[in-house]
Amino acid sequence: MNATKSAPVAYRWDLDKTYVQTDFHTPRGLWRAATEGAADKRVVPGMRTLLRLLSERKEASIIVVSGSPTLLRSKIESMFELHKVRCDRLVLKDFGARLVRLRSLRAQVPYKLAAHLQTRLWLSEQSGTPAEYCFGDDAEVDALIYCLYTDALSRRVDATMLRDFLDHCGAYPDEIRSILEALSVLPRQDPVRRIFIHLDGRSPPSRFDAYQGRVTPTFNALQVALCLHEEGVLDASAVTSVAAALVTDFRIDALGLLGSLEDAMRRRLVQLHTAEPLLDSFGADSSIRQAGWSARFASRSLARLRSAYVIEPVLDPNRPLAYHELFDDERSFATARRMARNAAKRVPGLGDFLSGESR
Amino acid sequence: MPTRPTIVIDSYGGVDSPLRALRVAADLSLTRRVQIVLVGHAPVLHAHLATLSYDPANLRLVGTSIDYPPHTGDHLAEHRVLHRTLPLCLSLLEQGEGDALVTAASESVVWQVVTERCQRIRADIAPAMAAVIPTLARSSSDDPFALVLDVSGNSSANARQLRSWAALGGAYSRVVSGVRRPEVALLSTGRDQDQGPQSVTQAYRALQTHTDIQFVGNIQAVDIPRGLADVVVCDGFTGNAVRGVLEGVTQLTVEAARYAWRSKFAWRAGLRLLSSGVGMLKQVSEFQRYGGAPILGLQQLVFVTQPDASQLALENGVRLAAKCVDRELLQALELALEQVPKEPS
Repeated sequence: MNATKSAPVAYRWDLDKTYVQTDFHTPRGLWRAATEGAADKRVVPGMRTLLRLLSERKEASIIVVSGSPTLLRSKIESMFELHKVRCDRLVLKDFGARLVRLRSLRAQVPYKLAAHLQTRLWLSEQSGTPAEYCFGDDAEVDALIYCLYTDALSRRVDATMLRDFLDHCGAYPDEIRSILEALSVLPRQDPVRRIFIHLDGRSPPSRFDAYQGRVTPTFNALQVALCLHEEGVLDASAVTSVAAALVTDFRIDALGLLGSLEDAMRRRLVQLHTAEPLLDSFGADSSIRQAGWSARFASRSLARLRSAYVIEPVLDPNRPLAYHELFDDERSFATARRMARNAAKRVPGLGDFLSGESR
Repeated sequence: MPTRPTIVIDSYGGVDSPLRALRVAADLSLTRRVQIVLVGHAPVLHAHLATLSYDPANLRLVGTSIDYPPHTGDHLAEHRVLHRTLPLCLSLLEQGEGDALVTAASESVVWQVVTERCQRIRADIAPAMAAVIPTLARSSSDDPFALVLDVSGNSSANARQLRSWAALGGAYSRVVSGVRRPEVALLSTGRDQDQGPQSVTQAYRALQTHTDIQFVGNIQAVDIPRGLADVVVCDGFTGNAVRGVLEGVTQLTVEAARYAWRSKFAWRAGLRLLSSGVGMLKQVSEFQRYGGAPILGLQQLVFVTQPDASQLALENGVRLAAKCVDRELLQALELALEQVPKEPS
């Protein structure tokens, strides 16, 4: 399972809410995303350092598939240049071609699945059958799309099941045809090592239990880096750089770093023997030291990590996923979250109080 | 980089343990203003946490092997558990792993454990439990609450204790409520200097020389909601009874409004028209759920919320604790007690 240093590896990224902090739930946020310059784009804390470190690896290919419109291509490319991130393939959504197809404007599954398969074809031509790490967020259906992509490549989901599901998602017949064609060219393979889902929308990690452990929910870039360190992709100094970026960019303190580390251990993203040496590595970084990471803090942290509670896994990654139900659940979740967001804008009701429900 | 207050929450106390405490801890962890340490039974906490939105950077779970008491109203079983778990929470404060403790456990158990275990700021000065009571507008402060101490239920207090509690209450009011020169009163049966028990008349004379606070003399229980003082000092038994009566009256008023809401459509419509006024009543009636009752005079900061406190109340208890840590309440209390002469040995 571990990706060795010389073997080609592809890092497949979503953009909005995974790398860039975008608020596309409000007209103001949409307008801002469309008009702000490359230098003004706010990046998810620590992700800039993480992606830069990954893109610096010679054997790595960086693929970005985003639902942002093609109009933003130059701005996004400038942003990556500014961030010193090498992006090998950038796929954006062509809204102009979809204006007459309203379903296609909003639908993410057919668009992203097709883009993932196309870029996999490109990867195969470039470097054979590289392993892949996928990065998405909890705002839309990234987890489902990445799992479907994995299952389609490995043929755990066959063409009939895929056609049926895409139809259920509202894909147009030509979109389905194009996806199946791309898939038929690709050999049966199982390249996806991990699917990271950044919990930008503050979803509880258990929301992804339905994916039977195939998805790794993470709270911040440090947890992603820790997991990649555990898998041998990143070394301790890279993890320390990500932690230092969280300190300088996000003003996270030593307790915050330790809390993230402990949570990663608790959820089995990293093991104690991997985490332990990092305590010294963090202590060697001046910005982390300034955030309160003293020698005494490190020794207390070690005791804390050694006594950390580790959750026993209860999920079965080999169990087939029920995509129809997952898709419907994701849609219900999105609706519920939208309603909650709207409700939160209102002052808590007097009616509840008078009915005695506020107790 | 400034350090954030670290607040320990005991998840064993309260009628809905540990879920309410867990939800509060998870919610507050998303704010980044405070570091939360939640103490509870490890498997239960960890299993439930995964179903909540939280930020691990601001939340630490301290797991124990002690199971939660059954929610059957068996107070003895509950108290047995609390006698084991509260010392664990306090030990975190002693080890510097937390700055303050917030618990929804039974007040009497907390008082017993805390006064046995925690060291006093000054060995000769007894601690006191304080509570807030809503008042009419006061000239000295915008804060709608007055502080009453002691409300612990202890039956007696001598003049020295009353004097030291006045100093503690004054310092709390200054630091937390932002009252520059708090008006402090003694609770008695009348306003005259000679009215009331001997301890009160003696304390009256002693407090007249106090410079940090503005001593306004004696007041009666009926004057507390009128807002005649920022801090009201009395013995624990009286304070507990006064608080109970005021809470009962408030509950009665709220129940009357609820009855009107449920009974007739016309009354409900009327209440709608009065909604802003009823809203104020709601705000005031929930006073006992806003924040917690601090125990003052100890070297640790401990806040007790009611066992049936709402999630909001518990959250506010944590916010209050964080505010006290931020504003260095302990140091202010120590300083205030310097004005109280040492007991002759």
